[in-house]
Order: sequence, then C-alpha cells, then structure tokens
Amino acid sequence: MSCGNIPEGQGTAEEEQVAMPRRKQVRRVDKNTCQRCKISKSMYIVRNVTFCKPCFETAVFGRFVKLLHPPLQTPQSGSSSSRNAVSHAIRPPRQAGDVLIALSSGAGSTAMLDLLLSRSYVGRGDGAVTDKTKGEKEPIWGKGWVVYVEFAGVLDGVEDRLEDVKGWVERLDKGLGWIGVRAEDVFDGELKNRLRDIAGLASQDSGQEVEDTIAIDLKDADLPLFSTPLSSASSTTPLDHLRKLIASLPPPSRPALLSNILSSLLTLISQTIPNISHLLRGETSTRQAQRLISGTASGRGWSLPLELSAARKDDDGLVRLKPMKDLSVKEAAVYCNLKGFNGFTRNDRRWDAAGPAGKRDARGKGGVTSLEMLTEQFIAGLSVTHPSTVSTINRTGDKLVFPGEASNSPTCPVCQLPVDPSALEWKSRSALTSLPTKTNPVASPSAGENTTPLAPLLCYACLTTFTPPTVNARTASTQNEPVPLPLWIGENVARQQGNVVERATMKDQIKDFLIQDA
Amino acid sequence: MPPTPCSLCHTARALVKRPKTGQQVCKDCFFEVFETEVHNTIVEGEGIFNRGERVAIGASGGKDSTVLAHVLSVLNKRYDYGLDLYLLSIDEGITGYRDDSLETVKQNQVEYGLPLKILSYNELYGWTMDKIVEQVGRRNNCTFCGVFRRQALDRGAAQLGVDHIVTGHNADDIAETVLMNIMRGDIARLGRCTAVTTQSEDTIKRSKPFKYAYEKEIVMYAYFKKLTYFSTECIYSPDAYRGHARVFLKDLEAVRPSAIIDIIHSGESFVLEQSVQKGMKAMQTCLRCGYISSNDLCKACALLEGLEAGLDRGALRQTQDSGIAAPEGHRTIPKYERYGAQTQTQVSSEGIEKAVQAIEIR
Amino acid sequence: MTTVSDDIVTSSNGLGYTSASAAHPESLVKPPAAPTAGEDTIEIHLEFGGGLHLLFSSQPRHTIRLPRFVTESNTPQPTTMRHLVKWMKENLLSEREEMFGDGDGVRPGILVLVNDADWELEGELEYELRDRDEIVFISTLHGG
Repeated sequence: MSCGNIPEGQGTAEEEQVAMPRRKQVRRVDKNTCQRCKISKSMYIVRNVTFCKPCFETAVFGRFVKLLHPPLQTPQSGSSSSRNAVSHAIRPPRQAGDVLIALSSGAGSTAMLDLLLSRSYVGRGDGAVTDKTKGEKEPIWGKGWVVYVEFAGVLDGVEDRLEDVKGWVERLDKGLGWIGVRAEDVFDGELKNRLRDIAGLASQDSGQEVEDTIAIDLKDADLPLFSTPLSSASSTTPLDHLRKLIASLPPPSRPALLSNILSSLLTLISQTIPNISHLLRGETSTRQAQRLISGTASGRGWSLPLELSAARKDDDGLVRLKPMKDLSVKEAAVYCNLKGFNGFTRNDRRWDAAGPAGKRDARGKGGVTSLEMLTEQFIAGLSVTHPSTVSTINRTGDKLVFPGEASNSPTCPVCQLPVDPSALEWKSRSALTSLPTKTNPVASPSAGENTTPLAPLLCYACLTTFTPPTVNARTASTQNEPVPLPLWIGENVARQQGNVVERATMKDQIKDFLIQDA
Repeated sequence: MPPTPCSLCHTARALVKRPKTGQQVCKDCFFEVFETEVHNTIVEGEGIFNRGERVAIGASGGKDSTVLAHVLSVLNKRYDYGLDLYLLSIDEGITGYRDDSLETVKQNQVEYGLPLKILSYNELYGWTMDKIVEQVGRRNNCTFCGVFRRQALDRGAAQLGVDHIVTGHNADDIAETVLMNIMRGDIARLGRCTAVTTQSEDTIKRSKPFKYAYEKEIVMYAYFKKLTYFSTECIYSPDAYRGHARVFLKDLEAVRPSAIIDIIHSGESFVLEQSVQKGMKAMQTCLRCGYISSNDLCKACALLEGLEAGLDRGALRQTQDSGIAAPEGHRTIPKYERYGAQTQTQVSSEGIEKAVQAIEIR
Repeated sequence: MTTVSDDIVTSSNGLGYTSASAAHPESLVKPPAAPTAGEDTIEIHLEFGGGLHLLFSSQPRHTIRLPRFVTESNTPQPTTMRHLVKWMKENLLSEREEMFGDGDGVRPGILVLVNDADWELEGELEYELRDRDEIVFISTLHGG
C-alpha cells in the first residue's frame, strides 16, 4: 500500500499513538548539576537524567540488584505482595550452588562481573567464614566460575584474547574459577573431559561416545542427516569443521549459528562443572531490544519470551539470569570507563564478519550481511532522535508471554529452546516450494534409507537459518558433500530419536492392554 | 549457459526469482504458486469467506487492490467460493492523486465486470483531504485520512449491503506494522495486527487475503498479467516514523528475503499478558453518528468537530469527550447504519439523503 | 584531568551524531591544518575503548596537537569537537571511515566522553577544545 497510514486492527480505537515521543526539549533543570544529589557537577546523562560519578554508580547498582535479587530470594519469606515490593532491596540469602558468569569482555558482562565482585556477591570457593564484625558481607555464592568463549578462529581480523582475558581475571585475584573455551570446541569430543579436568573430576570414557557425529546436506530443503565419523580425517581439526559449516551457511545465518554455539557451550559447561546453580549473562537493555527485533525478523517469535526473560529456570534446575537487562549499553560502557576497564573491554565481537564473504554480499545496506547488525544500527540511529527507543521496545518484550509449556515440550536440537508447532507445515502453506500438480518429487540422490531429515525437528527460526536462500534446481544434485554438525546437535537428535523408538517400543509392549488404537 | 529450468515444473524456462523462497520459476508456475498461496490463506482454518457472502474489495487503483480484484475474481471461479464481489473506492479528494487513480478503478470495473461504488470524503464529511491539508498542514493529515477512510469504508460497505471488506494489505505492510507496534509499544495492536480477519462486535468483517503475498510478487504478478494500476505515491507526505520502519524492513529483506514472512510468523506467535488483553476499552457507539467507538464521540466526529471549529489535531483529546449535539452550524456525519441492522433510527434529513444518493451504483 | 568548563552549552540536542547542521555544512568545516612552528596550539589526549582502537592503527591512546583557533569566514574561531572529529577522520583513522564517522559527527552507538564527562553535557560537536583535554571514544556496537 502506498498510503502512509495503514488502518490496523479492527477499529477498537485505543488512545491514538501516532508516533513515539521524540527527543524531548531540554527540560528546565540545571544540567550542570547531578539531579540525584543536587550538589556535585553532573558527568553523565542517561535518558535525560544527569548524574555525578558516585550517584551514577549507586544508580547502576540499584538497577542491577532490582533484577538480580528477586529470583534469589527464598520463596517463603514474606507474603507475596509485600515480597515483590522489597525483595530487591534485601540482600538475598546464600545460594546452595555456585555461579557461572559468562564474560565476553564486552561492557555489559565486564560491568556485571565488577558489580558482583566489588559487592562481595561471589566467594573465593575456600569456604572462608565471613567475619561480619569486620563489615564483611556473606557471599551469595560460595564460588564463582568465569567462562569466556573465543570466536577469533572464525572471525577474520579479530584478535585472540583468550590469554588476555584469562590474565585479567587472574589479576582480579578473587578466587574465580577460569574456563576458557573456543567456538570450535563444539566439534571437540574431548571438551567434556577437559571441563571435568578443570573441575578436578576424573575423565569419562575417553571420549568413545563421540567418535561419530552427524553431517548434514544443506543443499536439500529436508536437511537430511548422515552419520559420519569425526575421526575419519585425522588431519581435520575442530576449527576446520566449524569453518566449513560457517562457509556452507549463507552470511545472514552465520551470527545465529555463533549465538547458538555460545548458548550450547554455556549450557554444556553449566551441566559439566559440578554444583552450578546459576548462569549469569551480562546482556544489556540495548542488546535485549536488538534481540527482540532481530529475533522477530528471524521468525523466532515463539520462544522469544523465554530468550528475553531476566530469570528462567531450566528443567534440570539451572537458573539463567540476566541482571543487566535494565541497564543500557551506554550505562555499562560508562561504568567500565569509570572503573578504568577501557583497555580491557571490547564491544566489537563482529559476528557478522564470520566466514568468507559470499559472491553477492553487497546487497545489504553498506555491506551489512546480518539481520543482527542491521538491527543494531537501526536502533542506535533511531535512539538519537527517539531516546526512548530501547526502553519502549523492551516494554513490548516484557509483555510477551511464552505461548507453550516451558517444561517438557520438545526442544529444537539446535537452539535448545521449545519448538513452535508445525513450523514446516506453516512454511509449506504460506511459501510454496512445490506444486502438487506439476512438481515431480525429485528423489534426493543422497537420500539413502539410513538418512533422517533434520528439518522436521527444528524450530521455525533454526529452519530458516539452515535453509539456503536460493533453492536452485540446477545445483540440487551431485556435489552434495554433507557438512558435519557440532556435537551438541547430534546428541540432541539422537536423544529425540531415542524417545521416538522408546515410545514405539513401549506401545508394542502394552498393545494387548489397549482397548483401541490411541 | 543453458536457460535455467523452472524449479517447480522442471520443464519451462525460469523467468522469475521468487523473493519469498528464492526459487527460480517460470511464468505459469509463478501465477499458479502465487494464486495458490492466496487461496491457502483464504481457506486456512475455518476460512475467511462464507458461501454466498457479499464481499467488497477496497479498491484504490493501486497495485495491491488491482491485483487483489483480479486474483479474487479468478479464485472465486476456480474454487467456487460462491461470493458476490464488489469494488468499493473511497475518494479522499486529493487532486492529482486520487482522481487519477479512480480512473484505474473504473477500468477494473469494466475488465472484471464487478459493480463499483465510490464514496467521497466530501459527501460523507463535507471535507476533502485537499481542504483538510489546507487547514491542518501536512504533519498530521495522515491521521485524519486514516480515521476517515476506515469509517468511510465501513459506511460504503453498509450502503452496498456487503458483509465483508477485503483489503490489499500485503505481507510487507503487515511485517512493517508488526515492527512498528513493537517499536512504539502498542501491545494491543501487536496482538491482532497479524490476524487475517478482524471483526469486533458491530463492525463489518475485514480480511487481508494478501497477508502472505510479497509486495514485489504483487508487482511481478501485475507486470506479467499486464494489469494496469496507478502507481503514484500519495502527494501528502507519509508518516516519517513509518518511513523509518519501511526502510529498515527493506534492508532486512535485502539481507534475507524471507525476513518479511518470518516477521509475520513471529507476529502470529506473540501472546500477550492477560492484563494487557483485559485492559482494552469496551466498545460503544458514537452518540452523534452511531459509528463504533470507545468514547462518547467516535474519532471521526471528534476530528470533524475540530476541523469545523478551525482546530488542528491537537484539540482532538478534548473534543472526544464533548456533548452529543454538534455545535451550532457545524457539519456532521450521517447516522451510521449497519447493513441488516433491525433498528431504524430517526436521523436528520440532510445526511441520509446524501447517503441515499451515494448508494447508487455506477 | 579536571578541566572544569564554566560555559557549558546546555542546549544539547543530541544531534552531534547527525550530519545536518545549517550553521556548519560539512563542506565548510575544514580540518585544522597541521600546526606550524610557533603557532598557538593545544594538546589533546585521545583514548579509544570498546575495540574502537582497531580503527586507529590499533593504538588505544594518541596525543595530538591542534591549533587553538581555526579560521572560518576570515575570523579565527576556537577549535571545536567538530573540527577534531573531522581532523581525526582525515589524519588518524586507518580503517573504514563509516565505522567511526557519520556526517559531521560520530556514528550512532559511539560514546564520547570529554574529560570523563558525557559529551552530551558538553555541547557535543560545539564543545570548544582546551589544552590538555582528554577525549574518550568508546564503541558500544558489537556486530552480532
């Protein structure tokens, strides 16, 4: 429609919201003075409020604990109504488990780590007794682990900072456990044992279980899977596998893969290191707003409410927290500057630069090849004229509720989030790739009897990630060399198939007792 | 290099690369796949049409409604929906834009043999958009136009005696609206903007059969079918904020063509907090003109009163709570009568005469 | 470094990020020429954070000298942030300019601090530079 004003919804005329409030005229307050203490010279301005340095730090901590504390409180303390009001103001009790802190060296996670350490939230893991008479605070977690995932191997021109970050964390001297892994470790069958070794546990099975992995034919829309021995070419390293997989995906799908790699590694580590009860990620409000928009654009609407939530409990009891969710990246960056971390922090992880540039990459705006980067630029640009952009977007996100059942629903083997029902069916109805009257079913040359398609198991968004943008009839055959998939995907597929067989077997065993075929 | 065969029939030469799927298809397969997708949208679930329904196609003369009129005529015959189709056009009174585009609609009327009804802002409200812009300027004129068009379509439909209005909103429009509603926090609209059919109590059912049809494919369809449409943008500048969202959407589409339909898929999955759904205002009818409204006065009446009083849009908020009777000497909107409604309300004569005159088809 | 400015411009409109400025069309903003001997100059300390140093020869810190005044329309004007940004684009930037600049200003998403204070409080591009000012540029764009 050419008309700029599309009448939407059905005439239930709520308040007319013509546009977002634009950048407000500067209010008649003294911008030279901190609006909190009204005394000191203002140094920062955040959404039209000025702060001096000490007031800024207090305000940041206040909004940090507002999200961090409530999920850590004991459920039975106080009535529900009063508890909500005060639960963030009270320091939570000692948690049973330890905390895993994801550190990317970006402003958000660096600020988060500093906030936790400077206020004694994390113990040294030595079981030291807190001397409250000396003003010592009892740590919330007995021990903290810092995990850093290095992506430099697959990003051209990005420096490898694994040792830098490790050194920085060690110099903090706070007794933190260190786990430095690389993105390519998702292809390394020995990773689990390395993690067990770090935690002081004995190795298991010498990695026998992961000698095989699955490979995928990305050229076929059904995404057939093949069993392939990882060790077949002993000269092929995990990094070679990952590079090959990235190169096989269209550029806009690569950041999503890297994001899934990060999530899967964090999940694996939290499950392998003993006694981890909480996983903390330092995603800022700016990042959350980007996730909401780019996630929507990737078709991830179904599971977005779970992805965006500040506190989420996995089926196995792990609690995932995002206590930085109410602080903007600007606030995090100012905080890091204030604390002297400028030399350490890196906000440019450049996931959109992964893999070789495709032939026709120049199509996107200014060579931008990912939805994520486009969204980031869009929000940053809009925030200049509409400063409330990020908070308005997040207010929308906070109102979304997960439409399915969070526990026990089938999960996508790639992103490990619940699968939206009938993704394939929806796609086949609204975007036809075959015509029943005309299209001959082309027997996939590689489709043997033992191949299983991955497509029906995937959520809509991951299906989109793995579907090449061009389904070209001419390239549909012959040179389909399957690409190995990271181990976690293979394990999840195996687990799901195991379930299927299990159920069939079960039914077979009880079939005599069933009155009718249910 | 041999010509690329069609991905669908594998025989004819591919002429079109579908933005939606990336497939390269021949012309005939493109027509078939495009029409089939629209048909799938129409029959999905319980289907948007009932047999024997009288359906008005909101026709602007632009590409979307022109192609919609064509495709619906074709599908109505092919799948025997049993629909009575009409063309319904609103003349906003924009010189050099709508007067020209209405010529296109008149041409469609002949080509498809569909009865056409044109209802003008001037006869309904006593104002043309040209006059409104003269008074309020260009900044907010789209608000007037949007409110007036919505009501004009409903009134035109009532006059035609149809049960159902279909509009040419395409996938790009809907994806853009999803993004807009996220960005401005319009939760209530976000929850329903992806619905193929919307109907609330006492309003005429509206549907968007092109919900999954890409703008580019609509243009390609019109091009290959040699359909004529009017392609000038409205001369009164569109909303700047929507402009941002549109540019962003086009950038997303350039990076990943499926983004548009992926956004719609996300929009369909969104479920909102209960409290949000309950917070929506109860509907009543406008005390002055009888149109559906959440206030004593509907937005059109309030806007009209402002116009008559010489105010711009800023005065809307106050006026929407004003009394039943319009101020002395002001023009008013004729009483709204839903088609088939039982109660006959006594209305002032001038308005209804105009409305009766307007019923005349052709 | 606590050079407290007495004449803070309070009418910040945040538009230091954007190009449009009737008073300073980009073509008219000349970067200050390299100072010649004996000229009245000021020393500026630059720092890059958040990975932005990669665009500036991978050096996180730079010290530069600029003339105290720039001649515009035949009258000497105090050198401002606008001149500094322009100068940096032409003399210091070693990588893709679009990653740093946007019109006259810097790209949205780059945080600028003038002597530790948010530049939005200091007048953004209109801020008049003083000797030994410390300017920090921090990228908050992560790219995926």
